[in-house]
Amino acid sequence: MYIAVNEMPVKGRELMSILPSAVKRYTCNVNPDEATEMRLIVGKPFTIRYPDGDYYLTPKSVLSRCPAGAVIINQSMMDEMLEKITKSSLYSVKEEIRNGYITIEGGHRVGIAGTAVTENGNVEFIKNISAMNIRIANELKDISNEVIGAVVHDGRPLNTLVVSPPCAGKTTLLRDIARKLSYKGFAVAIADERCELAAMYRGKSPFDLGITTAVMDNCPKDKAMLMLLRSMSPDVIVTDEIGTQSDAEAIRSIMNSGVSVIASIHGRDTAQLEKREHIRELLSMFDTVITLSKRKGAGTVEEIKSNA
Amino acid sequence: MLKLIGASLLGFVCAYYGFVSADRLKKRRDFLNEFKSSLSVIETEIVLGRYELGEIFRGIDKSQKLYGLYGICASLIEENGIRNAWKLASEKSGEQGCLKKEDISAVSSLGNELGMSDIDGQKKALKRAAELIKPLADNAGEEYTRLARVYRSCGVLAGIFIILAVV
Repeated sequence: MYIAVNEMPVKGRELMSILPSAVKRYTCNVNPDEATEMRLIVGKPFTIRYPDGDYYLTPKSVLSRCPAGAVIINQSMMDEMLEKITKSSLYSVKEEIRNGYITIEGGHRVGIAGTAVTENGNVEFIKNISAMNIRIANELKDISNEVIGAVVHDGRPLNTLVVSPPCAGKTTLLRDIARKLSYKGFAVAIADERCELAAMYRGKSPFDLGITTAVMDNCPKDKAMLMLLRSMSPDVIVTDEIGTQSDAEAIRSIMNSGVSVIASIHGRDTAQLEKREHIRELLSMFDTVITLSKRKGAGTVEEIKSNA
Repeated sequence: MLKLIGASLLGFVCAYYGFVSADRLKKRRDFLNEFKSSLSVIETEIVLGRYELGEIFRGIDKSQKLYGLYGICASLIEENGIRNAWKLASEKSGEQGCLKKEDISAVSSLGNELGMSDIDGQKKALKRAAELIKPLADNAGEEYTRLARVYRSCGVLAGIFIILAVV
């Protein structure tokens, strides 16, 4: 399965409004709806990544394959951008900055890099922000058609794990599975620690997540899953990027309660994951393991393995 | 007859001016007091709710005593950033609220610190602003108590005097 990234229904013009004014003024001929990423790095040209590669914005308002003569990002542009994406409220996204990204309206995620301020070994803040990467959110409906048969069996959702390297479409796939299950009548609950799966913004998701989907976001996923289990009486809990011991313990409790879990994990394939002891235990808990890759583009289903 | 009408008009203008002057003192007092109490609302919303400034401002723009200070700022934030938006809003609503130059500058100074720091930074900024506003608000209250009745009485008396003098 190939998820064509140029099908994204993103209101790209709105996305352009978060760019620094000195960059935005040159974007009149740019169509961001087909872009997958935008990169701003201090002292480097402004880059837009499309499915066929990187392009650089020039002061003539055209995109060029050549970085020479492109619009160069400076520190004041970066500061302006930070103010725009935080809506002049840096304090409201401190936790997100500590994690290295900020989710903005529309579900887009702005990754940030700079100098980390640490305290007792923990990152407290990132100062002198020198790079930002806007990952443009995708909503692709029906991309789970190929795998949904392996996720639902005998009228109940199975415990399913999606294994995928970064940017191979696992979040997009999970989102579509959640949507489909919701429309099939299952009570779906999403534990969205990184605000990427449901990308809630002021209590609303920009994506169609179905009619019975409840979301707990910005909360450690092990805690969020258990809270959802107690509060929302779900049939299935969906979460992204599991991997820690506490995630495994929460998932075990949920499965023992008779509620299914559909989750994703970073990895190339199951063989690689089995090398890690606590992940091996985690893998054995799932009925179905779906492996994705980018071989034929993001979202290529490499394997559907049933443990049931 | 014409003389009487003219004198009455002049008398009315004098009395009206007295009332307007007293009202200006009241507006200033109310603005500064309302602004002072709004700072603690902002602090609560920031510390407990972690709401964005625009959201907070839209929520507390109900009072007409601030002449849309927060509403104007909220509408300008996205385009201009907090510093410029706050400056423009405080100048515009400060004028309508009959603030003095030093009042506007005190209100306006909050914009330099609002938004772009952590919770502790915000708390400190709001505390500083409250400290800055308190003597001004006290002074406005004192001026109102001391001068409002004087302005009104002077206006009315001057009006009566003019009417009597002309007639």
